[in-house]
Amino acid sequence: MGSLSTIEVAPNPLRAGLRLQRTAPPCTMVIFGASGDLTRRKLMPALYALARMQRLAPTFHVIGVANEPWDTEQFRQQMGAAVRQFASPDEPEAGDAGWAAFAGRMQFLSGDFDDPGLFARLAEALRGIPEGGGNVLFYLATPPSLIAVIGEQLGRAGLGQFSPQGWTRIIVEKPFGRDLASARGLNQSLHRVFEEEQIFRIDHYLGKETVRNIIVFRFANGIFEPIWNRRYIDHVQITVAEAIGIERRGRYYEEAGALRDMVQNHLLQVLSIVAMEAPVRFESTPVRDEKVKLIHSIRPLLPPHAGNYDEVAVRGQYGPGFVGGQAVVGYRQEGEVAPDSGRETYVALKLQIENWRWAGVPFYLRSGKRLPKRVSEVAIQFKSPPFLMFQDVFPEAIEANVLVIRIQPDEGISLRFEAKVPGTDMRLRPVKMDFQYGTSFGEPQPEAYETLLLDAMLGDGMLFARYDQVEAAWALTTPLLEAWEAGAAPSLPNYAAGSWGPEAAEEFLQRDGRAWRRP
Amino acid sequence: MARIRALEWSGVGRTAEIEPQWGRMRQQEGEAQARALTLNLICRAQDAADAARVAEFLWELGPRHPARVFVLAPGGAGGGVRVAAHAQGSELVELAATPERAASAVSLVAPLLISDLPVVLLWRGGDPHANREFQEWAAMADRVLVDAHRMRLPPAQLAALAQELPARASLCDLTWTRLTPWRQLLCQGLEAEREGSRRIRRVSLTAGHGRQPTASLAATLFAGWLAHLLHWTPQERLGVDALRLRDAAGEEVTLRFQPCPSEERHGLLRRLVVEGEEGGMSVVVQHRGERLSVNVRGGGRLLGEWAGPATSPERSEAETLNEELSIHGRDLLYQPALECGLALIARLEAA
Repeated sequence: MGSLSTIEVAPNPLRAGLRLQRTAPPCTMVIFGASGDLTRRKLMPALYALARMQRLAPTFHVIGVANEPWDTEQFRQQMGAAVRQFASPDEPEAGDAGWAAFAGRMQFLSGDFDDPGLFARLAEALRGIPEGGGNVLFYLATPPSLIAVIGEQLGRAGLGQFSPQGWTRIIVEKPFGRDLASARGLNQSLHRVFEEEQIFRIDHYLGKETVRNIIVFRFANGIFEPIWNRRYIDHVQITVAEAIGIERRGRYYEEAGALRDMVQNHLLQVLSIVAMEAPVRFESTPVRDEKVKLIHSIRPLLPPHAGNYDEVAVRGQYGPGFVGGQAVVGYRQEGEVAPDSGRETYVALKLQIENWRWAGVPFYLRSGKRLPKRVSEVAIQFKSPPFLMFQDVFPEAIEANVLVIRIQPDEGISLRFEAKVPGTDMRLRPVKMDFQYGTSFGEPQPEAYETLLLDAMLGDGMLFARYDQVEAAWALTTPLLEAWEAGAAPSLPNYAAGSWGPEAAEEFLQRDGRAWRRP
Repeated sequence: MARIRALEWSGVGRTAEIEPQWGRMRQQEGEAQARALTLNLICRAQDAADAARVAEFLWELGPRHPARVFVLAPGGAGGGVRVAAHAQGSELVELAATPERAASAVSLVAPLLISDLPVVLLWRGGDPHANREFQEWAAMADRVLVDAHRMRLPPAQLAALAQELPARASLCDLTWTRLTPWRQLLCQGLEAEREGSRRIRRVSLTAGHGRQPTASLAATLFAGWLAHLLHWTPQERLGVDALRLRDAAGEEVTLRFQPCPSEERHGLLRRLVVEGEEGGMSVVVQHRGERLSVNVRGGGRLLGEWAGPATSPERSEAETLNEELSIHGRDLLYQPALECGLALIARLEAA
């Protein structure tokens, strides 16, 4: 890593208390991989939405870079088609006057990412946009194997800090490495060119409104934090279930699997927000410090005395089945998947956080494909009352309180508690108190990429993963990955598409006297 | 209430009859049961026609600000009450509330307010100063919204009004709310030039002054906002319409209030020019058609020119109210902007 000097840009004092939304300063965004799926599906619709909402500077420019024989006009047409196809239904179609103005500030550069000439042309193109104010945001919407290559080329072309008058930042897409060693290698490679403050490792899960709301829920309310600990909480379940299969990403998924694709990043990010200590300030560094501390405090998955991971981890792979009334194929029948693949499409983990707040409270994490429905939630299972005085008059089991934070869909928070059934007898029944984002706030929620792109332009790294957090997450999961890849897989497939995962996952919790929720 | 949904009930105004009506309506509209209300909103309309108009736009705000809304129509329903429930959860009561019957109306409304939710009073009933009816309603409010421009209230009276309110209530003026796009565009314009806001040397505010001797309320608030946040202090008067100020770094700033001869858009900002050193940056915000536009120059060349949000320069009542209802609590800038603006005007008017 080079020196820690950064350009200080004093905030505009007139922004104080301004009610309208934050807007990005003038800048130029360079997208590597501009012909790819991510650019078409997410980046361009998000940028156009930001432009429509006037969150981008009117002088905002985009330079698309890809190894396609396109010219600028073709790039604009391709992006127009992408916005028409993938933008929110509320968004006016590309083709209106707003789009024409937006597209008019796009350029395209064609070339190989290992060609220094491409980067010389890029530098020239950037110099030709003085209204960018010297601010440049690189976005690497490319396969992970190209991150180091592009970073090195940017360094050689002197684009690690494009202008002394402005800022230069780089956004890197997940997966960031495929294990601890490769993640460290990538970090070192990027740090040769960029300061850590310039690097924004994106995890779109953190841009979701409901994930961000967990911080508000915990730390803007006085009543939850006092009970957010081992005295009152029995265990926590974090579920990220997908009804879809691997779509057309067979080659990628054979390399990645559920542990790399979901757990190492999304689930551990959510876990860290749910369980971290209160940051001293709502700023990037204090929040990220607490998240890193939390991941460091997770007990290694394989304790020294244990012989294997069976007590803390379960993997599964879906076979044929039915999802949403439709027959679907098994994982091994998907395109570009080996017919005898041992790759996991389901993971369940039991994590123990070794600190004063959480000692003895298990955190159960699970994620899988081809489960019955798409749902992401955090369920805080509270302990039962210490003494059940109703046992004599109401012998049925009384359910413990559950606080559920629904990340998607039906974003919201619900609390289950016991209530007396009206009548002369003493009968109890659990009821649910429900807060729903969609009905309490009439405003549509921004797409995660809109939030994250704007944050990066504003230099706010709070919702991005820092190098030490990425490495800590890999340090936790890499031994399990290596053990699974080296050892014999269980008999796979071991769950039918449309079910809630392998039987072993149910037994996994039953051993602890608990059960998975049915979200 | 022509466009308000048909789930209505009319009767003689008694609290005990209104609450059950909502219950029945909610049962008919299944989804409304899941709707969480976010505030109580009391609007004292100017007259019956105004009440009908206000009810319409408050109703349209329902999806964004689900509220229990009370529209007080002086001399309107002859003591009767009309109750309606919105498909998306808002609830509305229209009731007669002549000044003489204010105490009776307050007693009807008070028990219907949803506990633990803020109470916002939108006052359109004329000059609120030393107004008994206003005081009755303001006593139960957490926020009081007036439209001083529409009511032609002098700026000094607004400052006095803020002092008259109960301690827990804050005052805000929709004239200030209408300035948000102007402030936003100026901020963006200044950010096109690094450190732009710290290099301001001249400001010119053009507004319809009408019969007021000096600046309009809008120009007063805008100048006060700049002076408050940039720590400008008045130094001396430069003729009838300009002041010399000093910024935090001790540099001179000239502030000029340009009268606009036209009565069109009386009292509203028409044009704003902010300039730096001679030959340096300049930011011009002005009307262009029905939108605001900003033009930024720096170093002798055009840095950018763009239009503001798709909103009329005056902004509709629904738009301004939508913005105000998004704020829970006190607007921390309004009062300082008003006080600083009044101090500037006092200096300008001093012989």
